[in-house]
Formats: sequence, C-alpha cells, structure tokens
Amino acid sequence: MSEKTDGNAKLSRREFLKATGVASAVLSLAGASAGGVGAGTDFDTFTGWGASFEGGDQYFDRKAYEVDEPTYKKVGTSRRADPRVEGRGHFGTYKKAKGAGWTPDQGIDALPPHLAAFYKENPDSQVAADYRHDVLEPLQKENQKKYGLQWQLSKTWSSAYSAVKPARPDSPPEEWDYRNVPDEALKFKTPDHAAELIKKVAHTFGATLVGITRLNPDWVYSHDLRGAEKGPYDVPEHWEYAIAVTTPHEWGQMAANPTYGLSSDAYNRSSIAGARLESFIQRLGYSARLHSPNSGYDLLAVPVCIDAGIGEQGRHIFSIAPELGSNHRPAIITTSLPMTIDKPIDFGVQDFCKNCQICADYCPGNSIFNGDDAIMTVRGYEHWYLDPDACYNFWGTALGNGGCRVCLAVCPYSRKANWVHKTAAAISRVDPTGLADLSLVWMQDTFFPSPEKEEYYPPNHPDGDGWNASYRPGPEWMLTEKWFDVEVTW
Amino acid sequence: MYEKFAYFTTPQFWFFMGILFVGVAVGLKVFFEDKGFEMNWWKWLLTALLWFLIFFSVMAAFTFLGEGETRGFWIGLALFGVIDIILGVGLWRLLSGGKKVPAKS
Repeated sequence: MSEKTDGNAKLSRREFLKATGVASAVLSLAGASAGGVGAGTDFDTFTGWGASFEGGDQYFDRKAYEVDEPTYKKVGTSRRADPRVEGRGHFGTYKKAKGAGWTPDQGIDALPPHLAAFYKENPDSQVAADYRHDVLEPLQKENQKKYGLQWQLSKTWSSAYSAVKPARPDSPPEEWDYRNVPDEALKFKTPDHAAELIKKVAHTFGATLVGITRLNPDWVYSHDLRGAEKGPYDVPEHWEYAIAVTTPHEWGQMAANPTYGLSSDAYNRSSIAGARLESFIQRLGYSARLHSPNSGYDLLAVPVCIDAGIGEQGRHIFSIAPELGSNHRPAIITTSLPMTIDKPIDFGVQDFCKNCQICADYCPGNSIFNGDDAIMTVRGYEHWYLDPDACYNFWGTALGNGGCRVCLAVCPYSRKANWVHKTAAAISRVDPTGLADLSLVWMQDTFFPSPEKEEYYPPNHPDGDGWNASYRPGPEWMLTEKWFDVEVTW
Repeated sequence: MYEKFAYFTTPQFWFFMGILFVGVAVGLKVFFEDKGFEMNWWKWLLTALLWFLIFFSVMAAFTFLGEGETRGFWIGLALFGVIDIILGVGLWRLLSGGKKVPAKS
C-alpha cells in the first residue's frame, strides 16, 4: 500500500518491511543455492583431506557406539588363512606353476601340494583361474591397447605412488621387528599415555584414522611369514598389540571406478604412515612390524580394523568407517608396546547393509551376494563374505588402472562428509525402525544411480557388452585429453 | 569450482544469512498482521520450521549439484519442492483458520 505525498509514490513503513521480507527471502534462497554448491564442492568434506592433521571436524565420536564384542561372530573352530591359496592367492601360485611348465595333462597332483589340495576342495576356483589366465588376461591386454590411452594419466599418477615405499621385511620377526630398537626402552607412564601418544604421532605421520587393539592370532596368516623360511609358522609372541592406521583414496578417482580408480594412492599413504609409526615405536624401544599394501602383510587387515574400532565390516567385506565410509585402505603395525586398546564399534552398518544391497546389485563381477547369502562362516567366523574368484576375475577384465572398486564407490556410506550426508548418516544411526535406512537406500539408488553392471565391461566382452563405464566421470584433472595432445577416440 | 564458491562455506556468509532470516521474520510478522492472522508461539514455530525446511531443501538440492550429481539435484528439487508446497498450503490453511480472512485496511 502506498501513500501519495506531493505527487511522489512513497512506501509506508509496513510496506517497506514486507518488501524487506520478500527481498530477504529471495536473497536467502539464493544464498541457500550458493551455500549448497559450496558445501557440495568443499574440499574439506572430502574427509581425510582436512585442513589440519587432526582435522577435528572430520572425526566421529565413537564413545556412544562402542561395544564389547565386534559385530562378526565366532561360531566354530577357527583356523588361520593360508595366503598361498585363499582369497586370490591361488591365482598367483597357479600362474607360477603354469609358467614353470605345468600343463593340465600332468594332472592336478603335479601342482604344488597345497594348491592341489585347494583345487581338489574348490574345483570352481581352478576353473576361474584357468578362465582368467587363458581368456581374460590376454583379452584385457588387447583391450588396454585399444582403449587404454583414455586412462593413461591416471595410470601414470597411480604408478608414481609406488616411487616411494617401505621395504618388505627380509629377516625374521625377531630381527626385523627390533632393527632400530635401542638397548634401553623409554618407559611410558601408563598404557593410556602410550595409546594417546601413538595416536597423536600417527596423525602427524599422515594417518587419517588410528585404532588400537590386542592382536587376535586368528587373523595372522598360516604360511610364508615375510623374511622367514617358507611354510607354516607360529604367531610371534611379541605381536601382542595391533595398531590400524588408515587413509582414504582421493575421492574423485574413487568415485570414477573402475577405470579411473586406483588403489595405490591410499595404499601408499597408509604404508608410509605405517612405516613411520613402525620406526617411531622401534626407536622408543619396542618391537614393531608393518603390514601394509606396499611392504606386504602377514595378517588380514580388515578384521584388525574392526577389532580396533575403525569401522564395521560391510556387505562388500571391507571396513566401513563412520568418517570415511568404505573409502579407506589400512596398514597394520604389530607391536609389543603395551597400550590401552580401543573397543569395536556398532553404528548400525549390519542392519543398514541388510537393507541396502546396492554394492551387490551393481557389482560387475557378481561377486557380492544379495540377501543373507552374503553372510557366511569362513574359518570359524560368521561375517559378510563374497566370491573372491569372481571379484578377481573382474579385476582381470576392467580397463584403466586394473582392479575394481565399484563397491566402494556405490556404497551410500562413501558419500562426501558434507551436511546432507552427515545428517542422513546420523538419522540412520538413531532410527530403530529401519525406515530411515530404507528411505536412504532408495534415495541413494534414485538420486545417485550407478550404470548397470554390464556397462562396466569393455565392448564385446564375453561376460558383458559394455562401454567401459565408470560410476562417475573421471575427475577433470585426471582426464588425459585435458592436458595432452592426444587423439580422442572415446 | 570450489574456489568460486568457497566464500559460501564461511562463517561470514552464515552471519549474513542470519541477518536475512531476521528480515524474513520481520516481513512475515507484518504480512500476517495485515492478513489478520492471529499468531501464537506454536504457529510461529511451525512457520519457522517450514521456512527452514524450504531453505534447506533448496540448499540440499544445490549441494547435490555441487557434488556433480545433476540427477540428484533435479530429483531433489522436485521431490523436496512438492513436499514443501504441500506443507506450505497446509500451514496457510491452518494460519488462515481455513477461511479467507479480510485484509487489514
């Protein structure tokens, strides 16, 4: 409403306040838009890449979610994993045997005894290994020649990570684990002091998350201890504690799996952080041995992470951490240093993964199972498990850096740590009905869909006729064609 | 891209947003008075909740856009928009007592 004075239109005070309200509302919504884009692009919400080593805003208060027992169950007689044949171990052993001249005519018993025994018990694994060696690997080489230029930059970036890496142990634990230990150890005031200092320095060495547990000997491999004679071995007595350090993959390339994706960045960061921590502990006067992607392992890292409260195991069998989701890679340090241990956590991943089957729905190798089929008893423990042969054979199929981490990329827990996804995760944690989980899974699948699993394959592949899709496009800085004078044929 | 929008994640930006929220509240107060709505604390609470819902709906959709999730942006905008409109109509009917109130002269 306006008042007329001396022929000039003037706003009344009330009209002015209402106009101010409308202008404020419009500007607020414009601000919400800009603020939203800011939150979506913010580097600091790539958790693990915060502005400081400590990155207080990145961390999750685990206290309320601590439990006395981890979320996997011990259900029978346990045994240690044999790295020579279990997981993808048999592929390498078999390849070596074939390379040394073994042919199927010689019969399975002419293979190394442990491999022969494994294949007698798991004949499908031999079929999978034959398929990989005879069909997939030659085809992958051919396809890399045809399409590989597209990912040349990411491959080069990936390879460069291995330029600096910790050494593989070349002597037994009683030597290697003590190689920098002085005559006299510095005594910590209490185990609390030890745990606090170890965590502090681990962050300064580059670890994003650190957890401490007592080492369960069941997680130690049964054979071929690094630096020692080949064969079975007893778990060294000084491996009393295990420290898990972990870092995320660079988030843009992780989302661009399988082609632009790579493991070497997080592998190397965790390995280097772990190597520094190993050296630090030894120089304080205690034994320490690094188990890392770059230096090799003598144990299974995922269950150690779960015991140490880093995260919970998800349907895709990896550890899901509250801060990093599925996007992290660990290194473990076994030590004799007495420290206060962390408790495992239960922040709802088991229930969430039961409702969410996105990783299984989009696993191009069909290695992750839907429903309760994904919960199995393996070596005396009941937990999520997958078909490692099918997984590894898709590694022998996918182009780019090799390997595949689509399950990490599509996992709803792997989204950026901005306000939207943090709020969603918080709602999921406190909702006892499961309705929030169902809504969030629907939203993940609808708002952020994945290509169909077949699309991840190269064109005309016998297992799927795809177009080398990635979950999300490669990050702009990783596009070969952006920087280099190359002919774009893709 | 982040460099261009970095300002919109700073405390200073949220300070200005706070000032704008006060402007919205003052404008709504005068608007409701002129419409003859009888407001009380819980009606104001519902109004504030709806405003924040609209604000954060827009912000959520644009957050998806910032993440590069264009499909999430459009679906989010449509889905949250419909929810906001339905709740907005409901609140309007509640505030106006379900009937048209003559404007204050």
